[in-house]
Amino acid sequence: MNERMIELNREGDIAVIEPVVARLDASVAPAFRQEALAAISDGGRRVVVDLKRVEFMDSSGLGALVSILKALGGGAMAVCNAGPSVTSLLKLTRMDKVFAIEPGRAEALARLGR
Amino acid sequence: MRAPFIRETVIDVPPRLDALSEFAADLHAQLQALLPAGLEEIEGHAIELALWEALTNIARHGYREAPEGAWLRITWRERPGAVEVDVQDAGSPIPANVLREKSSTPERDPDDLDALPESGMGLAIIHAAFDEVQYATAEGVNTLRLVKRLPTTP
Repeated sequence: MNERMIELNREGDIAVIEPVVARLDASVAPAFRQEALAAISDGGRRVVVDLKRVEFMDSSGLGALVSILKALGGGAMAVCNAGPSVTSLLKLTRMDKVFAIEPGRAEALARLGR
Repeated sequence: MRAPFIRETVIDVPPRLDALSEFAADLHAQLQALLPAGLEEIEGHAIELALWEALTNIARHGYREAPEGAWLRITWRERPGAVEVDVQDAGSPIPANVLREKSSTPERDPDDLDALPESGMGLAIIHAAFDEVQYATAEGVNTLRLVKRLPTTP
């Protein structure tokens, strides 16, 4: 599968990663993880993950978000535009305590000091 | 004696990860039609997510993506005051230690990055989404039985 999984934008030194799939599930999570990690391989320490196009995410997609957080090595990550299904996943797994969750991209960027 | 079911719906599911993903929209539509009134929206999302986790776990670990003669089935039963869902397959059973160790979601410490899981969250999601979770293997068939109790109306 060679389909692109993310759209990448930069806001200053913040990488904004937007998955372009409606389902971030086990079938695409490894490719998403690989692309997202490549996007921050330049040593970036601040990342926003904008989930506005993601209607459904499973534990594999969530695991990929954890991989990004770990790759930042103590840097900061915010997640925004999580829909009701993704919000349910974050609560069930208690990952809502781990990620900085903001309603929209502007708030997420502000959270990271932009 | 168990209470009789009101309605039973069987959904046969493709047992491969790639085919499962293609089947996801169909499964979503069927579950939307089956979810009983009275459940909160977030509970409906949780049930769909938990079933998805069960199915992908079976495709990946039970059948290891080599499903010669494999099959995978959801049986959805409406019972008085509850929904009961069986997920059945004939792949390798979930090991007992995994069933034991992955049955709950630990508290998360955002400062302890090493402790955060990148995988293996599926069973805990299933436990969090349903009120009862049972697992048994008989005559080569694994049955994951999930029960969601419905709110009682005053």
